[in-house]
Amino acid sequence: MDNTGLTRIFTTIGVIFGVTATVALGIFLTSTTSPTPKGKASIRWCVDPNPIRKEQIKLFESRHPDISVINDPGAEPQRLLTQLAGDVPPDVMALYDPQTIRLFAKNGVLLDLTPYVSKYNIAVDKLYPALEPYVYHEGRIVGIPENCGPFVVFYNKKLFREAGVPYPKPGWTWEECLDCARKLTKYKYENSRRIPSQKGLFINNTDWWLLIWMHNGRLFSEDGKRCLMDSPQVKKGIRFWADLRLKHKVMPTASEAQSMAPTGAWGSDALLFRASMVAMTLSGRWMSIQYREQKDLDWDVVSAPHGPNRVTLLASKAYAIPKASPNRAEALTFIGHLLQRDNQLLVSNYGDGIPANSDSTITKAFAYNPDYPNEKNNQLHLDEMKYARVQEFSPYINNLDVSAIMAVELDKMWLQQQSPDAACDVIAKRINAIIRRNLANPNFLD
Amino acid sequence: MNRRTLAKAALYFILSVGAISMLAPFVWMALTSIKQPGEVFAAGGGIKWLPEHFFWRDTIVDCAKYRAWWGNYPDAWNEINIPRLYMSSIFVAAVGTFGQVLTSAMAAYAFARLRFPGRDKLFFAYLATMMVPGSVTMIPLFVILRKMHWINSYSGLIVPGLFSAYGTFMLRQFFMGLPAELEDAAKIDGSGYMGIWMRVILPLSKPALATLTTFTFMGFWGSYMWPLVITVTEPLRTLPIGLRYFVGQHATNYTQLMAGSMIAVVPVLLLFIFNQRYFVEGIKLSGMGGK
Amino acid sequence: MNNAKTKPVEKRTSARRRETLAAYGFLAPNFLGFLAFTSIPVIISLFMSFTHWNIFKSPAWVGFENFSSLLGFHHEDARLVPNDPFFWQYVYNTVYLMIGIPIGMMGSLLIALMMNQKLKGIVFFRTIYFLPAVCSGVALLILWKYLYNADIGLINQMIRSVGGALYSSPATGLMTTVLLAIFFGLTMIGCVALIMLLVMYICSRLGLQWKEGIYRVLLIAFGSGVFIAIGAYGGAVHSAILSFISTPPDWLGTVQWAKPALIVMGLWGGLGGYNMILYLAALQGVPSSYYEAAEIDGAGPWAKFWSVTWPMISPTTFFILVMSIIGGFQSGFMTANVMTGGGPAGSTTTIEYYLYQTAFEKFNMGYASTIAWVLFGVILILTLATWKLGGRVVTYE
Repeated sequence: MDNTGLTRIFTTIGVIFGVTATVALGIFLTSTTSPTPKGKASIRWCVDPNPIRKEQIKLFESRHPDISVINDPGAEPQRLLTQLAGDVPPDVMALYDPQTIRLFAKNGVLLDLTPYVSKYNIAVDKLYPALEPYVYHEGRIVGIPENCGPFVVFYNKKLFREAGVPYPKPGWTWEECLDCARKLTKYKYENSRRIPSQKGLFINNTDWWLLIWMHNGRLFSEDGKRCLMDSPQVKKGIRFWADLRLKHKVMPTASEAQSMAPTGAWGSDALLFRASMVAMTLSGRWMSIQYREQKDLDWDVVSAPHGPNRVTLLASKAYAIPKASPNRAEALTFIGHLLQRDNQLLVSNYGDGIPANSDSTITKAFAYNPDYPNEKNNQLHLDEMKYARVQEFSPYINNLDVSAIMAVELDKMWLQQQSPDAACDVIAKRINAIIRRNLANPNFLD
Repeated sequence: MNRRTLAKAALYFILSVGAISMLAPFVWMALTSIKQPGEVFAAGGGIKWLPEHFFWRDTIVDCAKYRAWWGNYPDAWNEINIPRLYMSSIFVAAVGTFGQVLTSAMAAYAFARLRFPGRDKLFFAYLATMMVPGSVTMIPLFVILRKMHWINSYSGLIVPGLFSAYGTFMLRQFFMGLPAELEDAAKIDGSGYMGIWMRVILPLSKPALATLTTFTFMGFWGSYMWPLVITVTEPLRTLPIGLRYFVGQHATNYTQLMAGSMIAVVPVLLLFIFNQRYFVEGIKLSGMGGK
Repeated sequence: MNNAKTKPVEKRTSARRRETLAAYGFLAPNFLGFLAFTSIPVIISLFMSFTHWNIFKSPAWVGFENFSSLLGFHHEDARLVPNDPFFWQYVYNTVYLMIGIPIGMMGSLLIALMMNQKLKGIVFFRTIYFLPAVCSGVALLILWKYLYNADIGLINQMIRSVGGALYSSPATGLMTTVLLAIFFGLTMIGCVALIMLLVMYICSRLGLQWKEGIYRVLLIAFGSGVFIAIGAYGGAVHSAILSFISTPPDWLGTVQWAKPALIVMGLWGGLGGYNMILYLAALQGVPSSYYEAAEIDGAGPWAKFWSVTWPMISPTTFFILVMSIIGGFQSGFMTANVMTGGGPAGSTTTIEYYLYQTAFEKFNMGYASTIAWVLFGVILILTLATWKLGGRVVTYE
């Protein structure tokens, strides 16, 4: 058959072409793998990706032309740990919670920054005191936070106006908040079904810290060997939280909120808020990155409501240098630069939290941002730092176990399979059981 | 209408209903890639299908509107250096696929058609390694590669993926199903094992080889964790790592992510469509001298 | 063969030797790579499961301690409680989520049979059915979350509107109930019959003698079961349907529906995916002369399928089954990580997710290796069982 002969010729030509192209591509690619010019040190900065990182690198490289920075996307723990274990560490890495910092420091992974503070001009003394768990391990400086965010209430001004509710004022209480939320919860009828069209308030399922602390409760005892979730103070707070959703119905149910979120449990509050389906959400300033996108959204911030105890949650991340980093001097230069005014303002003007450096030259410039009309009130975030507190942890139990138990038992509470008090009791019992196991067998700890 | 036509019509109907549901995510992906950031989700909750600016409503002559529905592509392109990522991905996937299919086809022939001591035990050892989750073997593998100085190199990206138990197992199953008569005929003709493998086994298993090629290519193309772990510098990165830049800790850039994903889908789809022709051929026993 | 005459034996042994050498040659490239990049890490991880290793410090030998912490039980308040409170729940979740495997395989085979027809535009359909496999994972996820939404989700909207229309008048309502009861009844009968057939098939394959007896027992049990069932469940179906329509479930938000919802999602994605392609390739491998021969014997399409197609593609079925078992135990990371967060109430967390967290977020690599090797043991036993059974059922040409 002619056809097969022709096909064979074409196939041969195709194979030859493909092989040549692949070889050529390989030669081209391998010859161009080295990104940095010779004589220039290059440091690897391992942190979650974000459009502002490019600008940050540009700024740093313009100040330090002899150092180039590579932004590694994704600080996935799997990758970070594999590279650390394989002795190919990044030069600067982001660590996202105090317990991880403690674990890394305890195992001698992190460089002690204390001796380098003055030489590399690292403004540790200007950091907010509340950030201490992100910075120190046993008195040594191991981490440098770049930005942080106390939890505040974002509220939709338009919805407040429509409902005739006056805008909330800083220093308001949970009772006042509940009152507002009631007035901001609305229903509509669809095929004779009464469904909520708008809810007053949303608090993420994982942000239970505020509720635990509102009546002066604590999650762990001073020595960390006991979980105090079953204390009356905590139970009162959790009860209030449960009532918001189950009794007063001012908060979307877990599933209403969860099925709105495109990825994981996180982010549903932002979507609901952007869709004007929730009038108030509780989170940190990084949310403004998203809310800015929505040009027609009229919003402002107010302090987190308080109970007998005025306190709010503080979130941050710290940058650390692995001891094995091959470019220690350059990494230190970079970390020092992160707390400098220009970088601090670059990050905070992008909307990612507030500057960790509390120096007045920075906070003054940060407090008022004319570019974004909704963000004239940045001073509020700075004021809230007085009440901000980092999440607790016990040295005797991993936070992942805590949050897994919390998630399971609180979900049962939201599904009304157990009362808030019962949930608190079970959580305390389960956490204490693991603490006991860990104390008996220290192999589970480090 | 006879029964055959009726059956055909029914088949078309069923396939079409399924096809609509299968198309939905792809259509949403394509439509989202030409939306503006604020339009991904609907105002009343839920997702949104159509972008506000569409080329048949707003003429593309208007430059600003043109940007409005097409701009995510150049933006994504510039944001993550797509040409370089693309070339890296193509190279890794092409070499990796060729190598894996080759070594798998060789090993599968030995396992399926040749007799040697300890064959089944060895094969079961192959199978067993697949039962150990990759999370716990990654660190040892990484350390081995560091000893070989293969971290941050194309070798490190490609070579560990060349020797797959999956491919070997799959091809073994197909090879075992091939009629033995052809092999015997070739033996009588004086062919060696290499000749049988090249001239009998491989041509007969085109559908299986095309399948494995597609799967392997997709595996290399979509692989995320291993390239992320093994690469250190930018030029070596592959597309999935590039797309990761659009998923931030506090905000995901859906429109550009979908534009990037659309660009990334093209080679896989092309390969799949190309390999389809091997699925319609089947075995032509008569052409090989008969059964 | 030892007592054969000398010369042929020599000839045969040299042929054997040649074959063995050839086999080693064919194996060499794959085997060497396999040795270096797969087997060594696997062996190291086995060693690690007997140690305490937090990645940073060097591992310390602890013997079987990890295993007893993972699998053991202890007394607490006079009750027997597991040492690891999470593990068993996650095992249950993982196994539950694997229910979809056989259904998915049947679906894939069905689609592959359709796709194997010589129809115009079949390439187009194949490509479309393959799309979910190449689509952006994020896009799939967002759409499914939207579908499953309790209030605005497409599924519940359809349930409400269709149900509302059907039950708007008593007559149509009654008719719907009866029809649905018959449908569910038939499905149940079908399932029982299928199980019966499967048992009989396996019995006959294994050559068991008590085929007649079991047949009769099953028939009697089946017959009486049907009578009891019909009476009992007519009313139950009616009330269940009514409550289902008035308040359709919150699919991803409730413990009892989250797993079925994920299974359905997996089934949909897998219909036109890898397994379908594998089946399609296998169907292509069936020589058309076999069908012709069967046709000459007067076989209809049904008989042709069971006598030609099914045995010819059984190696592929076996492959898909084994790979699904292996994959099923190691799956669930993506959905838990990005879609459900493992909830509600931990009901969608799988072992793989737990393993990942233990290794890389709790830095307990030794313990993670132990989980991995316990998992290995379970998969191994299941695969061996499949293997032994498969050795009898699977026909290789």
